Amino acid sequence: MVAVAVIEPDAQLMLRVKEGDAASFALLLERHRAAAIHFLYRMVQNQAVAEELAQEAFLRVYRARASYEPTAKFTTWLFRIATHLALNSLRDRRSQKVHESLDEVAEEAASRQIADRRPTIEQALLDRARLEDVRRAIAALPDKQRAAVLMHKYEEMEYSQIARVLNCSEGAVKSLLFRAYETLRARLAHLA
Amino acid sequence: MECPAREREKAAVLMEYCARKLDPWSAAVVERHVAQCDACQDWIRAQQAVWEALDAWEAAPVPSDFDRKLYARIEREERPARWSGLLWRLRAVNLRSALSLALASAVLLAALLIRPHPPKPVPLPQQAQVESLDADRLERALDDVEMLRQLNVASSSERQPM
Repeated sequence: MVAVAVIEPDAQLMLRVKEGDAASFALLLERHRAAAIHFLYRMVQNQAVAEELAQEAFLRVYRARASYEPTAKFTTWLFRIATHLALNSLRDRRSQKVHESLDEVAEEAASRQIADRRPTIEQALLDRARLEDVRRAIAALPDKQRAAVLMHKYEEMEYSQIARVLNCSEGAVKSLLFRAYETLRARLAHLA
Repeated sequence: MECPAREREKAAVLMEYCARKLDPWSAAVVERHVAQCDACQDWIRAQQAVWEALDAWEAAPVPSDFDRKLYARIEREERPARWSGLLWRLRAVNLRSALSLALASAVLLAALLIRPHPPKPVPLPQQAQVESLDADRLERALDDVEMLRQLNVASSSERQPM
């Protein structure tokens, strides 16, 4: 009996991109652009930077098409690139003291994100303050813990996939998540 | 069931329970334990609060021009590659042309060099010249002798008495 390796649909699309099929790249972009941008936005907490990094991530995917081999899930590869870019960006921006601009962007983003849901001004202000607390609590996490939480919470990735993205063991991922959620529980206890 | 809230390694079960990722059987086991464990109840309550707080954080919508910008970047990146490819092809064509031109020039030059030339007067060897010169002199000398003889004959006939 011959074992047939099942290649996931995204990897099949990527293999077509490798063969020069531009439509398959467009399809991959359509499927994963939102997740990549949202993950990067929550990582760097700056919309413009997140878009730039997401473009860079897809550009790197496109550049690497010729040497692509379906050894892992496409999303693992994409998020590995995205995480790498985000961690580098955070490190660079940290050295540039961007907290002021981060606050400006957060204010602008917060007002945009809750704009459609405000039943009253008071509620809107409360939501805004709550969102700001969440954002600050996430931003205060160590980079790897933040990446692990975002992939676990928002992308609903399995531990094994997060481990491959972060290039560590599943045990290390569980430990990262435990510590991250422990910190968040303490920092966001007032919201309970 | 050991209390997962007290052990870091086993707290993953509670995280999965809060994320509703456990299968029904595992979820039932956790619920039975939680029902009688205050520590786990507190843990789950706090975790669910975090979970709900994180739910409230929606990311901004994807910008409408994201794809256009990305394809523009790809285009910009590929353009130099295409140009260099074109230049390389042109270079290859130029090299081929240059080689062809050089070959054609060589053939033309060779053809010019081996083309039959109009006959040029071939200078005679010096010995032949001397011989030719001597013959002329001899002829002229003989003529001169004949002229002298005729002159002498004429002079002799004038000196004789008539």
